[in-house]
Amino acid sequence: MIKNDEIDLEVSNLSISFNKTKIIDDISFNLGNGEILSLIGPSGSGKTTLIRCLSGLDSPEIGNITISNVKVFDENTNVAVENRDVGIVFQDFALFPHMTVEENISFGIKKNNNPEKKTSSIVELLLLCGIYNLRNRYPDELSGGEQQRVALARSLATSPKLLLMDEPFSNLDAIFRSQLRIDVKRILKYLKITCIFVTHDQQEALYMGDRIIVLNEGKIQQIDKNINVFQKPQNEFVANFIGLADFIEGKIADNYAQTEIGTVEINSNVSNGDLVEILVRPDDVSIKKNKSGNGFIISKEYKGMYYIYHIKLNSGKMVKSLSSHINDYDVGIKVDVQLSPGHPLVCYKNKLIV
Amino acid sequence: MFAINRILIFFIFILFCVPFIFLFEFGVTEIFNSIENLFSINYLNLITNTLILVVSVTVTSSIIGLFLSWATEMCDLKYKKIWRILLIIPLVIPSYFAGYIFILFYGPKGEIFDFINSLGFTGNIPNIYGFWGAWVCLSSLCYPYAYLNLSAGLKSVDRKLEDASRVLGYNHFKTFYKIILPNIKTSFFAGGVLIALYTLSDFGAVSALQYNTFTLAIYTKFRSFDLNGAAASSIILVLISIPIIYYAINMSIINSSRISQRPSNLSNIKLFDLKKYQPLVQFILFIIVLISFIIPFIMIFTLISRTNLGIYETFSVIKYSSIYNTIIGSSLTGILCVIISLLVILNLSKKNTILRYFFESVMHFGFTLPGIVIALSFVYFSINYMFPIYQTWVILILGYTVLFLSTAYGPIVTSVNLIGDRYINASKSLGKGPINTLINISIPLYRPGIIKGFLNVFILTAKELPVTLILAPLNFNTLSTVIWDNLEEANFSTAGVAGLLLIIIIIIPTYLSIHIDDIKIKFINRKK
Repeated sequence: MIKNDEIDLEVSNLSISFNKTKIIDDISFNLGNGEILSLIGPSGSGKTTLIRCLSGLDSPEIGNITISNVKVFDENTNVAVENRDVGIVFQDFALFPHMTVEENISFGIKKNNNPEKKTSSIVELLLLCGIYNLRNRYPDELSGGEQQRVALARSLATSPKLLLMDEPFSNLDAIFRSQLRIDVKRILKYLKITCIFVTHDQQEALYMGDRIIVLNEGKIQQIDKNINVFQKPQNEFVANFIGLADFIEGKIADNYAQTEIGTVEINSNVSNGDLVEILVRPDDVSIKKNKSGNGFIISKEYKGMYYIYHIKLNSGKMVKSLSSHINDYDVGIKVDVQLSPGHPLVCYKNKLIV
Repeated sequence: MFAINRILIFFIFILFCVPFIFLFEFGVTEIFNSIENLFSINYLNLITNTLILVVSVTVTSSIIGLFLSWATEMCDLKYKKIWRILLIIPLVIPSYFAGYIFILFYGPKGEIFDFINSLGFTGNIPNIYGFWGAWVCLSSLCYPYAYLNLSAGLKSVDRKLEDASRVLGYNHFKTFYKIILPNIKTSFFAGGVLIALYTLSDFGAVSALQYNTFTLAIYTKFRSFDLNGAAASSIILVLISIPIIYYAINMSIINSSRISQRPSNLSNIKLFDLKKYQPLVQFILFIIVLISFIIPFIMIFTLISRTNLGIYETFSVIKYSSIYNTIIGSSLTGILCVIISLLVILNLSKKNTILRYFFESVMHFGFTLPGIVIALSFVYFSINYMFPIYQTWVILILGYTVLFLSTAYGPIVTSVNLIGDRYINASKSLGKGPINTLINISIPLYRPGIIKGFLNVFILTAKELPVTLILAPLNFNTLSTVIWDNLEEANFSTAGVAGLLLIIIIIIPTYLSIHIDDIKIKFINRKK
């Protein structure tokens, strides 16, 4: 059903402005065959605009877009949206209210396809997306999660070269979200769809993406494998945006850094005596109750399986610590704070990784 | 208090039943007495004439309305703010006036004829009397109803649907046909129903252009004192309109809320790039505005300027009483309609569905009946049962009320439903009595609906002709009867002045009544 030739997206030097404000500022990236790319960023970072320009719904100012070796946008070309072979799953689904589930899905399939093949591919999609029983219903008779599945099936029915998903789960209840996430990723991987998945939820970005683009103020902050984005954020913005982060001052001595909560191995290209900021995640910090400790708990978040403790160190610096649900400490007590990451940490100078 | 309200509602109900009693009393016996007449060529002609006109005007106006709403709402049309205003101006031109202007411009010895003659051609120009004239004239008056409904519909469609369809490989026009059009179906048919009813009950334009339809036949029979014949024709006219009326009531078109459930974020809408077709679309809009607005207005001023009198004398020909009667009569009718609507809505609660449905059906029937039928039934009613009010202000305003109540009722009921009863319950829980709550809470909250309802009735009453001609007291003039009388006597400059005055009186209420929906939306948003 899905053509399996060399699918690829190439974006270079893309800039987009609205009313003289730069929404997207000179970005470039590539996307490999069958790869899922999470696009994450705060509201107003230009995620949706980028998606709309890739699909052809909006036009960039300048830049090149090549989808599957076909140039769809440069200074001389601007292929219309209906001819770009791109699928979109919209945030609010945009299912056609006057059509049944099956009619919605078959809407995009070209008429000259032979009818048998058309029917079988629709049935295949209905089954794959788990909506076969709903095929004769109208969108207003479906739950949010069901509508989302229909929207996905509809956009897959045209066998797009590139699928764009614009915050597809943001209108759903949390309980459906995690199940749908798993199902959607399974379907995309099964069909080997090249996909850009827009989200503002870091858990979703980490789960869905093979790679992640972190976008802020129209610029790519980092594009990398999801593990690297979490473990080696390129700058302090990315570190804060993906996962919880604190920065502790440290002084370099050989491959170690000395900080006020202990000495740790580092994985950075720095020289002895340098002063750096070290990225510390809550799971890198352990605490122990101690009346003469080097910090005290100012608040705690109960997360079910664990606590996140917010601690003020004697120096006035704040750090967060993840602690098992067994360790239930009262707010206000003194604790011993210790770095115990179990792996080297990364260092920053002037908010950039070194 | 409660009992008085019930009795009042009962009398209002009786009032709305008057046309039915009349139709049965005279029409049915007449039809049975002369059943062979029914199948006479005369009747068949009337039926075909009427149906052909209704269908052709409805289709033409709907297509024009669709094109215009597409151009102003979905395209990157230049000067669209100006077009949006110009395109609805025909709403203020009464049909009888438009009919005569049409003849004076396109007709034999009209402006076009003079112009062609002055160029040295002496041939005949096509005859515009009869069907062709009535068709073009009524279409140019009616398309704003389709245009307004469709524009409102397009504004309420979720425009993401368009994006979704484009991404799935359909271009703008296929998307419009397959996705947008099915989603504005209700607006499309709502406009069509209004136009069909307007055409069916129109008396002025067909009478000016001498196209023989039922309304004209009924009026002619009434003028020759054949009340039975007039009633029989009325019954047939009602029978023709029943499918449309049934459809209108069923779709609750007259009564429906015009506020979209899911207003699109208008700033984010992608407009269709007209590119090289921009001049063509501008030209088509210009032609429509030329026929429906520019020519009529130029003609009005031409007619006025043809007098030998000075400006002051020209205007002093119009009696102040006719201006006064128009404004006071329309205002009183508007106020009465608002009071009746509130009385019914607040007393027949939603739980009383059968009673309310019955009342609403009878009321909508009043709006859909041609004015001429209502006028005749009130003549009959007052002569037989209420002679003291025959040919008085009272019977005239009751006639207007039966005709136009539903246009006030619709917006008010929409306001009431939107606000719900929580504020009223809150007021009651704070110890306020029903009258106190009505004055301090209900009426201020329902104000947008009340204003719109009042304006609708005001505009329609000011333009109304047949009911005024038949029910008004002797020597009683409104601007519309002044226009009509002077047109009949070929006293065109006086008619032009009266027409201009009438348009001046209703143009601002018309604008307000169209745009009060925006005010209403703001109002509701503020409440949220």
